[in-house]
Amino acid sequence: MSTQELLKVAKKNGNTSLSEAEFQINNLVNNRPPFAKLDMSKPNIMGVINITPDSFYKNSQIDNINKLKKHFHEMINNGASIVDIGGESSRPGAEKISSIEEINRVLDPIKYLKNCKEDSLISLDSRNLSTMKTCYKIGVDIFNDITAFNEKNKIKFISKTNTPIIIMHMQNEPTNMQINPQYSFAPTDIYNFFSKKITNLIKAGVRKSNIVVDPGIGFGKTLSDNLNIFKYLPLFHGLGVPILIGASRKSLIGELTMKDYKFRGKNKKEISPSKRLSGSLAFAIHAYMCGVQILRTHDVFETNQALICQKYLYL
Amino acid sequence: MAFVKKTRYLLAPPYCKSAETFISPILCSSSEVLDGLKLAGGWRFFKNLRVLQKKKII
Repeated sequence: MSTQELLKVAKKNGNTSLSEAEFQINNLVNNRPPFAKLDMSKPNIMGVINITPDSFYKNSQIDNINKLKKHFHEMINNGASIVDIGGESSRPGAEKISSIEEINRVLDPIKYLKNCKEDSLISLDSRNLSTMKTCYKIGVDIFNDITAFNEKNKIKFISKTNTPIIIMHMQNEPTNMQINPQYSFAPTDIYNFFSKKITNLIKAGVRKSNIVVDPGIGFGKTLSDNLNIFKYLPLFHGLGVPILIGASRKSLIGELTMKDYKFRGKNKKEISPSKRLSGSLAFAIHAYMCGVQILRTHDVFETNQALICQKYLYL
Repeated sequence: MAFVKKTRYLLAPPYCKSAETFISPILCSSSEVLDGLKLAGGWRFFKNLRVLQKKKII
């Protein structure tokens, strides 16, 4: 159905339907203002740095300052405009750590990165208010919260400090999120979750231009839920805010590969995260072709190269 | 899990009280549509929409 046809049919159903249709189409079309001063009319790459001993992809784990320096400068040189730093693993089954431990892990690395005075932005991947408060003082640019700022105090803090945020969808907690996740239809359920969340955040004083949504691939979702999210990614543009997607090295890539092995009658026990780069790039290209504004990845050089090639081939 | 049925027709009038309506743009590049709309001021374009409807539980 064309946009004109939708408006025509909605008009027949009354003014409320028409204004709802117009609102949705405007959300699809309206320019996105800069997010944390980043241009949202082009794709941006967010590199992942984990200051953790137990993240699901071992190569992303940073345990010393030299490794951090090397990783950070490589990411910036290779095209990352944001570097996302986390001190707590959120892989399925991961136990929560104390905010003191989390702060101890991320504080010095963030201080170092901020002192580098590079152009890239630093985002903090944390669900703890005290970690956010501490890192705000040392200049973190963006807060990325897997719980989508589920506490009033967190919302009050981000509203007061006017900090750009990334809200992620997750069903339950990392410890139990992969135990029988349930949706009526994941893309529309998650759309509704974000729609309500954005309305509440704006009511609480958060600027719409400071919000990015992340559907949370692999966070309380089955393989079929994750694939449906990817198939219906353009739907999320109807929320009127930029979208972030992170499928880098995630288990859905391993699951899809193993399905193929099984189909061919071959036995393969596991496709480890280190063998999931090609699949990560396929999902990154798909997200790019769906107009997703921020791509979160462990492999900045490879993702950037894939996007460059795709751009010259198809756009 | 919900069963998603593909149909050429709408389940109910768009944005009516009995069904939720969602729209997903069918994306293409600028060279593929002459009078398309620019998605979010970015690099993708669309002219047509995929309409998804879900019965509301009243």
